[in-house]
Amino acid sequence: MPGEIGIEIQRRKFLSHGTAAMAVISSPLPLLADTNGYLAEISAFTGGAEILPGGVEIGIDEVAEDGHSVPVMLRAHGAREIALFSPANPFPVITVAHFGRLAATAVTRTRIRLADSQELIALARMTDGRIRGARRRVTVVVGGCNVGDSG
Amino acid sequence: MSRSKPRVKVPKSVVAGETVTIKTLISHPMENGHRVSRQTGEPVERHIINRFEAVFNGEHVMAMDLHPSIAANPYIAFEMEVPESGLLGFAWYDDDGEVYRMEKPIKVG
Repeated sequence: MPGEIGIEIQRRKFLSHGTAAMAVISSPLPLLADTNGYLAEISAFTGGAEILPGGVEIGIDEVAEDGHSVPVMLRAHGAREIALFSPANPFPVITVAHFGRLAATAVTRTRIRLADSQELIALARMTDGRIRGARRRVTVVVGGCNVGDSG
Repeated sequence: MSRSKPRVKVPKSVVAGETVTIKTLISHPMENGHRVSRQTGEPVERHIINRFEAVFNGEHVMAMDLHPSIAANPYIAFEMEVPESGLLGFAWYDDDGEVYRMEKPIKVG
């Protein structure tokens, strides 16, 4: 039955994505449900590689008053790339930063939108190809990706 | 449509091999495509800066893929090592095809 095959594929997808994400997640907090496809984006970034904890830092205030503009710092010394994923924004990838030889400290600061309280996930691709990950919980007072508007 | 205006803060002179902080900002609404206009009631089409690049004397230093979750007027700061005097070039790529560019000299001395 095509339906059963579909379910089986979905179940496998869930398991593989879930495993990748769980590895990041040596944190006691449960994963948010995958409503925006962020687990698939995480799998696409890791290519199935194991996610090692540590070595990546997400610098962000624990409470963001205004989700329209939240300062964030990403750092992973010696990383080639750092990606930031959101489980609760409409689009799961917030940004991917790419660092050359002259930016070996691999640090970037920017300002992001957060639709809701959530746990952000940062993954770094190190120069040796290994993937490192970190999670960081943020409470958002006023959400910032909203459909309502200012203009 | 108003043109976006980039601004950057780059030290003019540094010691060879020094790691410095580069700060950039560009005025841009970063329309995320999820908004409904209060005036027309119509959805507002996505219109963002989707990529930022920094290049020193032709060498890739730092780039960022920007998605709709980046706040309006994208601010990007990063650190770089300056091995020699040269030109630091910046580029911001707009969804509408426009590329905003800027260059700043850095002197090692």
